[in-house]
Amino acid sequence: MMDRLEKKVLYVAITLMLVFTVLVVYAGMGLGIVLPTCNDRITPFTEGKVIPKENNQFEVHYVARMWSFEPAELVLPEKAEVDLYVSALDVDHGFEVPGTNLNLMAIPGSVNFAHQRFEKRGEYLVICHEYCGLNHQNMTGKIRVVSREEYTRLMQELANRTLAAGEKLAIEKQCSACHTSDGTEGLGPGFKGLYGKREKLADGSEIVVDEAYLIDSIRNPDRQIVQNFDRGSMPPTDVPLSDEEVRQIIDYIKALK
Amino acid sequence: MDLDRHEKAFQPKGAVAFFVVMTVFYAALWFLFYFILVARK
Amino acid sequence: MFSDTDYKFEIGKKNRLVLIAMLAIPMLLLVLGVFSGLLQVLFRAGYIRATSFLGIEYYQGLTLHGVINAIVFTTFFEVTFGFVIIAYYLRKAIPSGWLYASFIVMLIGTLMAAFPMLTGKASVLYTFYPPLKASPLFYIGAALLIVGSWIGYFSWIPQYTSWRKENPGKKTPLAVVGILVTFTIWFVCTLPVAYEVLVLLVPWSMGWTKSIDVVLARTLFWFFGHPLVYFWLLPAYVMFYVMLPKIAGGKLFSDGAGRISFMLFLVLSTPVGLHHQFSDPGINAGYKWFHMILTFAVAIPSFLTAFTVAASMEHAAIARGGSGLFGWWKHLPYFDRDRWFFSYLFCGLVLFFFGGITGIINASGNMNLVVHNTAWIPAHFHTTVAGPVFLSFLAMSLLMLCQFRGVKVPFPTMNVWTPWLWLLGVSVFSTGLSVAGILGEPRRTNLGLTYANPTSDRFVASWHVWDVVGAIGGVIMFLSTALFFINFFAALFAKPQEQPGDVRFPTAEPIHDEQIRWVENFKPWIAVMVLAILIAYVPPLYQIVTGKQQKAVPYYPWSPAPESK
Repeated sequence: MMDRLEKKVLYVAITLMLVFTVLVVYAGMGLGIVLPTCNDRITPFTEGKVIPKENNQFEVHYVARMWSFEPAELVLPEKAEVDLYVSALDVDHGFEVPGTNLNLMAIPGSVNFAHQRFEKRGEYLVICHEYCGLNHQNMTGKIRVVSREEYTRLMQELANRTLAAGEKLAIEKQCSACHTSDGTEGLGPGFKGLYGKREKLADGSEIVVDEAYLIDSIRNPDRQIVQNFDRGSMPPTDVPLSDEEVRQIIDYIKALK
Repeated sequence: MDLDRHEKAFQPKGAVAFFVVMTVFYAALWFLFYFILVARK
Repeated sequence: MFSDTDYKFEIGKKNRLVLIAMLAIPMLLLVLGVFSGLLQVLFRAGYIRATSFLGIEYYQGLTLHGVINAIVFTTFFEVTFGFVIIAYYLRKAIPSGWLYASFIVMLIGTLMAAFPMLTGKASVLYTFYPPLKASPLFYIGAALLIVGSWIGYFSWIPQYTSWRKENPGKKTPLAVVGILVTFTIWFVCTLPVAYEVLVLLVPWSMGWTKSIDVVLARTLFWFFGHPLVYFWLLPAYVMFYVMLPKIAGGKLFSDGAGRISFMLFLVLSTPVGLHHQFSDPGINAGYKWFHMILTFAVAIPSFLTAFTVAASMEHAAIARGGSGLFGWWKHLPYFDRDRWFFSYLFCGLVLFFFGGITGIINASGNMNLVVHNTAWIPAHFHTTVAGPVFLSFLAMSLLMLCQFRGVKVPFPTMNVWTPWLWLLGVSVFSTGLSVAGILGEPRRTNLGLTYANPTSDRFVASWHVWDVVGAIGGVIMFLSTALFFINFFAALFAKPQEQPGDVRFPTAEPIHDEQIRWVENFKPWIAVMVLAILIAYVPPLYQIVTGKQQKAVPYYPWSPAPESK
């Protein structure tokens, strides 16, 4: 049928490919280096987000869009274990972090997932490596991995900045006329400890104060009013707050634990 | 006829040597990339 | 290069003119395609730091380069080669009507797709991933080119089945096996991409449907995209098995190895496409692993081919006075102007020596994380499609042209050095891009504006030196093709010195020529091929089609706002 030598050639080739297979499977199952994968747990999101968890774990939602990543800069403490969820808002993008095995496609309509442990300190480049239009070569982000002390310091600084900016805005826009920030009683619900609080509404239903509720309460004050507060007290919907300012107020409220 | 039989008896030792070199080179390069993958974990 | 025992086939004037056009028109387009390649390396090394150069925008140039070099040139060549090979080895006349129909449909498709590419309305690269949108003409033109390429195949099948009836018990000529396998793979694998283009993309690009399933589009494309590379490789393999041993002065070590390899490619070329989507969401890891295993399997016939070709070369070298374990390599006709075809094929094989392992690395599951979408990828495919495929296609184009026109190669010395210059160029180019890629440099990116621009805050110094290496390689590649074009176009216009239309292919005799019954018939192998495709693709396609991913609306490359003008 086939020359003896050719049969040997086939055996050698098959053996080589089998060795590769075993090693690849070991890298996957033994060492945990896995390909990015789909997941149905999280529906495609439109905003970047960083969610710190306990034990130096993080969950990060990355949004790739023409032509930037959100969050544009991610700061992490060394040895952070990060669950990255990556999606795209418009066209196909890539997500590559040289120096790591992070290499994913960001596909609009889907969420991709990868896990990475950021062992060493340093600055990592996040690159879009899938052609996404004329400014593709400008599309980068940054991941800064710093010492734990530096991380704590930076987060505190961010919190202070948020507090300072939010406090200033609350005074400027007259929110603090009725909403206190130190837990004392006022004409409206106090901001301190408000985020995440369970509130009973005037119509009898109960809600947990989240971002959506806060936005709605600012834009449509009487719609989901908390029980025992008067309707018509808070200025109506054409309060001149831009979306960015609403964002700052919400961050301020969140920081007032 | 004799030439034919002689030809059929041709043992391509040089091709075997080439194939060995190729296999070793392929394995070496592959392991280099395997090492890179594992080091970046 | 030929002996009197090589059969002489005569092609009449009518067919000859169309065949010449089918070689020359794509070659003319290739000039633009190759020039785009030169610009690419200059952009990439930061010698050009702009969005456009000479009126060609970077991503437009990249689209032209990929589409012309890898789709238009290759497809036209293969259809031409197919018509001639089938007629030559089956001793049947080329059916004129089918030949003309092929040419016309493919030409119309090409021109239709060329127009939006040249006017900047199709800068979506040859993979045309949605939601980036091109002009509908681009998609329709591409579909026509593909459908046109089927026409020849449809005429060869009845010619082959008559030949089988007329020659019971005879082995099918090996070249015919190769071409029929090539085009069977092609026909089957172009069905999913024809569906993607005609059913998904065209209505979406015309605005008749609002949104498109991106994961489905990608999967259908790569259902086509991997067998595409075997469509490219297998005609080169035909030349390696059937012609190379003869030109080297020897014989084919094993005819059976060729037949077994071709049948294995028939079965294994297609059910492997997910290895281009290892980093995609929306597809189970299990399906990706399965495609990886099948991809490892499709490497096997190439290993077999490597051995058989080496053994055939050794046989030729020994006939020319060589001996020993390695010393015989010295005795092959590397720079013989009369055997110039050998030089092209050999240089292609040298590149493929590296191409093979880079392909296996890409296919190795999680190892793909090291290389996906980095500059390593173009480094890889310039040692494969721009290696044995490109060189053998150029060489055979020149060989056929000279025979159709009845001329000798105009500049034989320059001709025999051309592939060596190409080998040098690609070696340097691919070295530069491989290293840059391992360091994380992305592919398909106008580096000159940012990453390769020292005045940009995105400049990456560690990549830059390798981009310069790549540019040097690219310039050498450009020079080599320029030399080839001189010979080709000179031959196109030279005065005939011999009888035009007399075609001869150097055809090797096999040393081991036993009839292997289980590779004699196509039908069982085609059945296995279909089964393998169903097993490999129905589950992932089902997952995608029933998946929860959302659909996407169109975007133009120049604006982040959805489909704004």
